[in-house]
Amino acid sequence: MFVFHEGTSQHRMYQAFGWLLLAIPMIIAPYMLPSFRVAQLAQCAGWAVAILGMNIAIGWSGLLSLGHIAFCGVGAYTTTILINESGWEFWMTLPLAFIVCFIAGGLVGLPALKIKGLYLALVTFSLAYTFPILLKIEGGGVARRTGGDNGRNLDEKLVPTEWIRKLFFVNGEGTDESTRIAVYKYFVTVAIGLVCFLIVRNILKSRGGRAMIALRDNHIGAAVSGVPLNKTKVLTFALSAAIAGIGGSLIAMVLDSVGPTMFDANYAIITLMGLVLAGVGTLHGCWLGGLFVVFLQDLAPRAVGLVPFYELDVVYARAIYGVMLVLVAFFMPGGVVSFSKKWRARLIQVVPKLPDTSHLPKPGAAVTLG
Amino acid sequence: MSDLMLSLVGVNARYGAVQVLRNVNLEVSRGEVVVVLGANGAGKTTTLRAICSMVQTTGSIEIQGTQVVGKDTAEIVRMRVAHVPQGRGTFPELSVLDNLMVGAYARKDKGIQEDVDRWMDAFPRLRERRSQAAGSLSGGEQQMLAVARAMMCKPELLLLDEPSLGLAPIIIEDLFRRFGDINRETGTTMLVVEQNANLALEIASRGYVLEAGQVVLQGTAEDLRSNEAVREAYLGA
Amino acid sequence: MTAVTTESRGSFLTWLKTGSGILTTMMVVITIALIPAIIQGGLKLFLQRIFDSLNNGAVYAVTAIALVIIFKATTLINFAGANIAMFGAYICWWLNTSYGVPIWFAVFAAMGAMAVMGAVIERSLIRPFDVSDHLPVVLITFGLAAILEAFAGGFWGLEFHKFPSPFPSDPKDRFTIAGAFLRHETIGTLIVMGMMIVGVYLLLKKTKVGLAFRAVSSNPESARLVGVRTGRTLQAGWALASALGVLGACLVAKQTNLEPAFMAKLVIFAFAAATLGGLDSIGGSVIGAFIVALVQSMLTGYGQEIPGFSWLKSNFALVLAFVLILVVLLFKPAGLYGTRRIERV
Repeated sequence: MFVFHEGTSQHRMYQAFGWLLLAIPMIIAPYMLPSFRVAQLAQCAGWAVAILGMNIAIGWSGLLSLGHIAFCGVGAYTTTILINESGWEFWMTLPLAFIVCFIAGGLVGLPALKIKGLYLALVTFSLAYTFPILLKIEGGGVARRTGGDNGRNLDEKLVPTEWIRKLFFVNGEGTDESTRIAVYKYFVTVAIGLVCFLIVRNILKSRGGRAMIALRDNHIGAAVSGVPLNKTKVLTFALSAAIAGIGGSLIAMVLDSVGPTMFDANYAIITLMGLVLAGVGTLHGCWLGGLFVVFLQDLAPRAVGLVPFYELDVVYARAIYGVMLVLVAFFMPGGVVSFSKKWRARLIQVVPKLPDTSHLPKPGAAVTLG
Repeated sequence: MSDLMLSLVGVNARYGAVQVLRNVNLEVSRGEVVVVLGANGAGKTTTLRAICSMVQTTGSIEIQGTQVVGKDTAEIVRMRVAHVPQGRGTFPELSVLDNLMVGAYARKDKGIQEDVDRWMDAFPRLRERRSQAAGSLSGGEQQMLAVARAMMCKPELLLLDEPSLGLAPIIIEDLFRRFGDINRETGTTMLVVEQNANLALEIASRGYVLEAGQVVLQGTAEDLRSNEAVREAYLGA
Repeated sequence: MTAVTTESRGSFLTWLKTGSGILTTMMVVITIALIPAIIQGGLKLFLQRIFDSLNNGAVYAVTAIALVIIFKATTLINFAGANIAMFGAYICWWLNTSYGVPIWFAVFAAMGAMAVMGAVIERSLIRPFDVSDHLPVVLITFGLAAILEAFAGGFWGLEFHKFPSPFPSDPKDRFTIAGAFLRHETIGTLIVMGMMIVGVYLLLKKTKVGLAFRAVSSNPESARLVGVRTGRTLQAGWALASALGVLGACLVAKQTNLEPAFMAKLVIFAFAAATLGGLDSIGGSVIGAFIVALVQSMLTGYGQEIPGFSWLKSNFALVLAFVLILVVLLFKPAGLYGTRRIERV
């Protein structure tokens, strides 16, 4: 059992060690793995951002939305269309994707947030269901721009510039171009993801963030304390949609393509599972959530093949998802993060720093009036 | 005194990690009206909930000699125990008539319609509003409905949880007069939790005072009324 | 005189804001929007579109009622409902085609089987959780949906199966009204739905079980205190809802054909219907179902006739259904005929 006092140098060392333990594999992994794995990891980072957006709504504001996958899709398609039709650079599309998704989130949020709980879940799930159909509308050139059923490839792929090549691939003669691009995309998504995480972390610590969380825990209490209920709710929903949209943009960039099946009701459930498995309302759990989203789809069909005695069809992979969803609800309601926190608490204890009270009057000292 | 209707021996009750009742002993004889006094949070409501098995309980609770700790609420109700919870506990979406019918849910005999008439006679306002949704009734009417609904199960033991809460004084007086009537006419045993000690001690024969989940005082209504501590804390004298 | 006018205008405005007011406004708007198409296509075609919508309306209504029953009792939404119904329809088809069980017996057997399953699900997977905690229920019902879909696909394959019609379904089995065809199948579906609604109504209003059910939905704690066995009552609610869902699935399977996702594709319309009418109102959700079906049928049918809107396809009705939901929620969050209680769940 290790005990650290908050604020001491040992505690800072412990924290730094923890971060290094996380950071080193994240930096080394792309150089060690085959390029398709690196691409998968980059996808994970994209999904992590999408889940971060969902978490703002579900985890920190208590708005049970199942429709964020649609905002993800809006982001992805915004990026794709801007690159393909208007010849924008990937970087420039991100702010616009953010704004478009923010507005879309606000538009859906305005009516949807008049309702609560599972009613909201129902309506937002309908949104997730409707989104792929929206893409196929032939009027107004929608289907032409989105590519309809087939989706679209990105015309302009993100390739590393010369100085980035020098920076990241010093000994890169041996690696082929596809690996270089995969590694580059990986770092781009992780970096943008980190920025999103920092933004969300700071928002959560801000006044607005506290209002948001207060709304989740006790909305009547929050209202009487002066939190403007509807405004906070709609803004929160819009923000969460915008972050999810950035996630979508990243995924489109990593895959170099978009399609209606990437942002349908099925993925709404998969991302929800990722979020819950990692931990609802935990910031860093979202990264794990991204890993789950990508690798569960990889592993579930293989797991079906491992069942002894029976030769099972691949359709049973869906049953594995189902069983996992049920098991998570029963046994890991807090997700992996709270699960691991419980175990860590047995090993390492951090004693919180007491607040500084020297400026307050001593309890014994009587206050003289007049 | 006659036979025991209800006896609590060494009852502890808890909500999760919070222990609310500690070693509570309490007895009510058949036909008696007993009042439980105490400040907010003293455990009065929990005592009633423990009797109906609505809270985690250990110890012994006997109703007419039958042990009920660990039994299902539905079973306890079938032993003719009616509970009027705090805040009336009516069914707001159901009509007044349906509220009364649901009160007789646990009964299997044929006299239900007669009893509906009987309690509508006793509370004529309920007859006027028989097809109105209970949620649209005033506070006083809802309390009448709650009592009438409880009486629909022909209870031998009636548990009343702060019936005066949120009602105008004139309505409270009327209500307590009716409790006295019901007790005299039907012989229903009553255990009343009440903040309004003056009124409660008027209709009660005995009383208990709870503090921090423990019985700190018990005695006849007369004794309690003359007790210095009770006078100071609950009678406002 | 003036005072009277103002008052009546005031009450007219209030009426406009009630469920019936919005409903009437909606119907008027739909009708006006359709006038050019009716003129162009003729009354016969218009009548045909209405007849076409009845069948879907009935099926959406049955599915929506299944949703409403569970929501009323527990304020929960069963996202697995569609797939429970789908699985039931498979059982019915399997009994009928493999063992030659007469179709209606097969329907009732499947309803019974899925009622048992609904009861088991309630007891084992739903009751352990606090109803105010919504996330586990979402996870579990979605999980169940996935499991059922996988097993249906595993047992019976992913391909389409022809479902035997429970009604006379020869192309000749139809009435002709003003030139438009009303199929016997449609009438059969409507009759079954009507019987089911009357049955559910009688069950809820006239029986002791129904009284217990309404008591539990209104105030679970008080229901316990009057001796209602709340657990069993909710279980009965799940069983009933599951059985009704199967009935809805069997009524529609003839048109859609059987495949593991056939109900999941449809249920979104039932969601729209229930949200529109009010998730805690059986009557409201039936009205909502027919509106959604009507709009869908008109869009599909007239898409070609209205110039510039040839891209309107049947699945665009879903988009419109969703927009409709959002607009209704903006003005009446509890739906047209729901109570306001839902807002503060």
